[in-house]
Amino acid sequence: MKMKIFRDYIISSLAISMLIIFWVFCIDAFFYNMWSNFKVIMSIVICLMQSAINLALDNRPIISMLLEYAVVVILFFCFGIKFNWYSKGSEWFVFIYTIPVYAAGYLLRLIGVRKDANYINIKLSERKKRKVQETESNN
Amino acid sequence: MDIILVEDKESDLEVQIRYQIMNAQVQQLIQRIKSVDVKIVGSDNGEETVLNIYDIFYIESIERKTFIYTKDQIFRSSKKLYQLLDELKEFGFVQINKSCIMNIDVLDSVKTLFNSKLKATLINGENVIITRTYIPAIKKWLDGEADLYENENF
Repeated sequence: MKMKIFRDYIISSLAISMLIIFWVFCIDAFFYNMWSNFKVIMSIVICLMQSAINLALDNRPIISMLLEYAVVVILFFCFGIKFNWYSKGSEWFVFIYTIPVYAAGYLLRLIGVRKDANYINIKLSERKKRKVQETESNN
Repeated sequence: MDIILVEDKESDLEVQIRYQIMNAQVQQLIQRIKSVDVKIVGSDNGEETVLNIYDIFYIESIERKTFIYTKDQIFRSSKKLYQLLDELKEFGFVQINKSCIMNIDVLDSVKTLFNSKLKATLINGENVIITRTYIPAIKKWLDGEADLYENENF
């Protein structure tokens, strides 16, 4: 219980600190034109976007996957234009650039989940065997 | 296992378990006895029913309403999902997505879905979704139970 309170305290302190830093960098960027720190913060926001979408659309896998991809494309598109990632006239490349990166990330995640699924199924079959043995020994 | 019943009108209800070693069977017995004190009330068309926690398959929160699913019935609960999780987590109930908790005892198998989610098939054939965030909790629970049996074999 004490550990849980301590952990919650650390998480909420970190969250508040992050929020303060975020606003400081936003003010720096928009009022004093210091975009370098803002870029770092926005990269963190992009990384957190996927978790936020997953949380919001927990039970809708297809919609969440499409939305996740759309958000990544839109963010890359906006930032690409703002920070000149693409040459003039070839902004549409963002749709192509994003696909291999997204696909690689998606496959890595899928491999991890497949491993977890196998592990759980093995444990469940062991559990079933134990239950059968218990029932037999009780009889 | 012997069961000794002693009638004593002076004392409160008391259960004493005498064991040689703390093993999975003793743990299960303790859990079953403790579960008698946990009262989960569900209502079906206004009629309230006290549910046996081991009859509950999963509990889901939909649009801020909590529903309890048994093998073939659905009950409404006045409690919030997190309150029910607090009451039931020591009896093998784990959170599987942000709006659902499941009784691990009724989990039959899991299958990978796209977008890093798992489809859990329950013993009555129903399916529920397990999201990636909650997979470690299920693994931890299954590991903990397996450890108890392994210790028993030593």
